[in-house]
Amino acid sequence: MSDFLGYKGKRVIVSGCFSGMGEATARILLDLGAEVHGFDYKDCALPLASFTRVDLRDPDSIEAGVAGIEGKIDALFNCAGLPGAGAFAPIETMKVNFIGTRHLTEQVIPRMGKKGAIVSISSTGGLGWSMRIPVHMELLQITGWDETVAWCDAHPDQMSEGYAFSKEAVIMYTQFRAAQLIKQGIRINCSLPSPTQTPMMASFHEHSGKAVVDAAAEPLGRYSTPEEQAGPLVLINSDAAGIVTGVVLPVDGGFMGGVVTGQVDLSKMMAAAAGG
Amino acid sequence: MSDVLGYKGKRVLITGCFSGMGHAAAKILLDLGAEVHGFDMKECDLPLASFTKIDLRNKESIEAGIAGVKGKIDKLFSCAGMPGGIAPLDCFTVNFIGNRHLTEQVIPRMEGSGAICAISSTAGMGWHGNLERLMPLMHMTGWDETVQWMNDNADYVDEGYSRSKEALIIYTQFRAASLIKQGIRMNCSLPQPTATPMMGDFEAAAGAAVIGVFAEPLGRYSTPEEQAGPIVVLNSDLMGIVNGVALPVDGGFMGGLATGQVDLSKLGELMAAG
Repeated sequence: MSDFLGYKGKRVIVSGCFSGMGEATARILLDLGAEVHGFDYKDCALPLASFTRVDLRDPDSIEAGVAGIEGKIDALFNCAGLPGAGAFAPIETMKVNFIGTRHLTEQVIPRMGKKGAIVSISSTGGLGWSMRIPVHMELLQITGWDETVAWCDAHPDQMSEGYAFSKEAVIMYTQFRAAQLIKQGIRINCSLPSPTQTPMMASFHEHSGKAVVDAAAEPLGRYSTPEEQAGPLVLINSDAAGIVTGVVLPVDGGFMGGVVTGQVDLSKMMAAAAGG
Repeated sequence: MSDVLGYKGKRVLITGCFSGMGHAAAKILLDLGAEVHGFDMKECDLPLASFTKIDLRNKESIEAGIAGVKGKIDKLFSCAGMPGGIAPLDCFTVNFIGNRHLTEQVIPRMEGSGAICAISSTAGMGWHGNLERLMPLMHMTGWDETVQWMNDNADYVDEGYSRSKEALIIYTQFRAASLIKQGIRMNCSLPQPTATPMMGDFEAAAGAAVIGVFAEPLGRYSTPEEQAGPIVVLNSDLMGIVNGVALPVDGGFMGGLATGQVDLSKLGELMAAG
């Protein structure tokens, strides 16, 4: 069984390949023999098959990026993301993390033919998705770029600081779209990383407070590494994951499971947030 | 990168290796170079490092089986399971009490690094609604007192299968939070209806039409191989810090439910019809 994961010769796109989880993902995929095409806002140093500078806040940039890659695309890794909480305007965060990521995904889907796999990085910060499903369902019905931006502009109370809402939207979109895409042989999933040692972490500390971030690193008791986040993305998009689709996969050392069974105390996090 | 999953030379224990998902998983693990030790009620035809006949309804049988596998155990795959309906208490015992007892026996043998994966089911999707009722079981670790709880709550255990799979999901999430501090991960998968030897029993108990609802939106039963791949993936080194996760392997059933893409209203009618 030399290629259980099935990446040899596969044509994949990784967004956010410049740094952090995207870079680590691209690295593993190269090692596994995939033909890796990278998208990022900043140049990527890895020996990729191609690199395109793409701005996920701009639909034309996204469309040009996808058009530049000829032929079938087998797998898509949506790793690009922006922090929120004041680091960027909420709509900017929303555009990169959800509107642009979705637009890129929808551009890639017709290029996958009858078989393909998509994975996006959401966050444990999106864990509130199930509390406002009707709001997200309303948003999901709107598919045009301008209309979606207009909806967000009209709902600043929902969008709030931008990050949590954008990550919830990715989770909802994943589950919603999966049920349709499986009929075409295409799978779509997302991951929920716990706090991870990436270049974005400084911004999370500055804007959310280190105590809040640290509380979300329980029960592991440390931040994960970009490599620890990349492995599960590669696996969930692999042939070995067969019919896994519409799944929201926590990659969090047991945080989500611990919260629901009373093994992780969220009140600490709330107190830190209130105090911070 | 020849051993990205890290199974080469690993000592793995797999229950339910005679047939279905367990058999398919054992086969993949052998191909990946693991040293595979199998447990089942029935003889397994694969070239395993060892095979032991065990009965998950019997505490002593479980303990003797594990004592027979010497040295460190790196990974545990709990694939053995029983359908419900005909013998509800046996079903609950095998799927939860026996599985948990086996797991707790294996944990000290992992010596500070290891991974555990159990097969639950989408039939356990009601776990959240039963959390309060099932949590006391998590703090009740003895075999006899757990069996006592089961006997006292036979009405609640009902046909056996769903409740046992819910308890397994809660146990996975509950135990994972403390195990990660010892370097051990624990997860479970939630298969949709799968073409295994158990399927005849499910169809007889619930009716093929009801089972069919759980096969949406994929529109077919999955194969044992399609269920085996994800559990091999979950227990692999490349899964890093994935822990306490109940992974649906269901073609989008659970996600479709959450977003109104799978229609469960049919289910009520089908079950009422009977």
